[in-house]
Amino acid sequence: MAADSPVRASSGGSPARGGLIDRLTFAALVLGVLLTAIDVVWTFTLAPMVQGAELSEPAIIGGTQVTTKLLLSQKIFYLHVPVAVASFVVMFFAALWAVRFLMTKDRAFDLRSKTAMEVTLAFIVATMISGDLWTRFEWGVWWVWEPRLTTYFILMLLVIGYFILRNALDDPERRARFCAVFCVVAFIDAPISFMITRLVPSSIHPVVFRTDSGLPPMMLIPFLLGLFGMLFIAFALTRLALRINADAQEVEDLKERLEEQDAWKSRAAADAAFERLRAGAREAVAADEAPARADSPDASTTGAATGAAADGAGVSTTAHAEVAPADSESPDTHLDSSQEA
Amino acid sequence: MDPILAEVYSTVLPAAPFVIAAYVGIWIALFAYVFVLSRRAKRTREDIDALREALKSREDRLKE
Repeated sequence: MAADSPVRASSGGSPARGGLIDRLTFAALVLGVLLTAIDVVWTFTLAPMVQGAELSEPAIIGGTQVTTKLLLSQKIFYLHVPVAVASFVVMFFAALWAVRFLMTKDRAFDLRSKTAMEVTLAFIVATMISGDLWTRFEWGVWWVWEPRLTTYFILMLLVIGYFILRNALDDPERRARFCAVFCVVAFIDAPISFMITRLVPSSIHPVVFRTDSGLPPMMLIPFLLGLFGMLFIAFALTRLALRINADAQEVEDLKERLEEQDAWKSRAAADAAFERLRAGAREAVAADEAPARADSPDASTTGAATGAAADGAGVSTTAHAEVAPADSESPDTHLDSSQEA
Repeated sequence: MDPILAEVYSTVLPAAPFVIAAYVGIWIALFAYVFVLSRRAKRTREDIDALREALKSREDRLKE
């Protein structure tokens, strides 16, 4: 890893326009929305309702014997879980790009990581909203400090913290490096949150992904449609956001360069004005010296006058010399700066 | 309504607002992000126009 090397300018931050990826982005968005729409329709029409508590006595509905209450709230699962999985997947890519940034110091990867974190936050908020509504209905409370909820809440706080850290640092190099490290560390919570229902058996949160889930096809199909739909939407959103963020960053860079150029230009004008003042002062000193020489009557007085004039000049020169070191380097410095610009 | 049917659906109707709110909430969160992105894109376009103007006026001053 190039730990101390400076951050390199973006080499591929701005995605190519009108290329294959662009068409894929649009296709992914359309496909994602379509799959999710089918998932929603299937969920509320074809997918059977999960059975709850037992009835006091069986009932016949539509020719089928029903012995338990029906749970409509379980239908939140068909979109809530895909959104949560999408948040984990997008955050994985954010961490991956953060590692790539730390390895290469290429700002393009910092931009990608930041963009993926934005999308992650959107999906986390969506997951929290739907999950909380399910919790409210099924458990009767808005919030429970249950392992899955707690770890996912921590994940949300970490993602929010990432953006707070990002806004707190002005230096782009430090900001990119610190945020990349923070992103990788924050991602550690994602697999913990995913696995917590298995790691803590007392957890009351349902375990969704398991080999013996026994979901009938009529329930599994809409779930998979929702899962792939949300993954496609997450991909399209990430690409779209990356395009917009890359453009915004490019504009910010251009603005900074313009402002720097303006600053150098005004400093150069100030230096030129100061140089003119110094030249004027030199001429004034020379004009003062000339009458003193002309007024001297003989050699001895000339010598004394010359000495006095020399003293006066010496004072001037000394005074000038005191000023000179301070400002003598500034024109060169500004010149160098201008040349660099 | 038949009391047995009422018991069967006793958990369905109260859950409906929560289910609908969950589905709507998910889409609101995602659309909110799309809205933020569209605003950012609009601001970037405005910045590009401002930069273009600044560049043009600078070139005009240089010509003078």
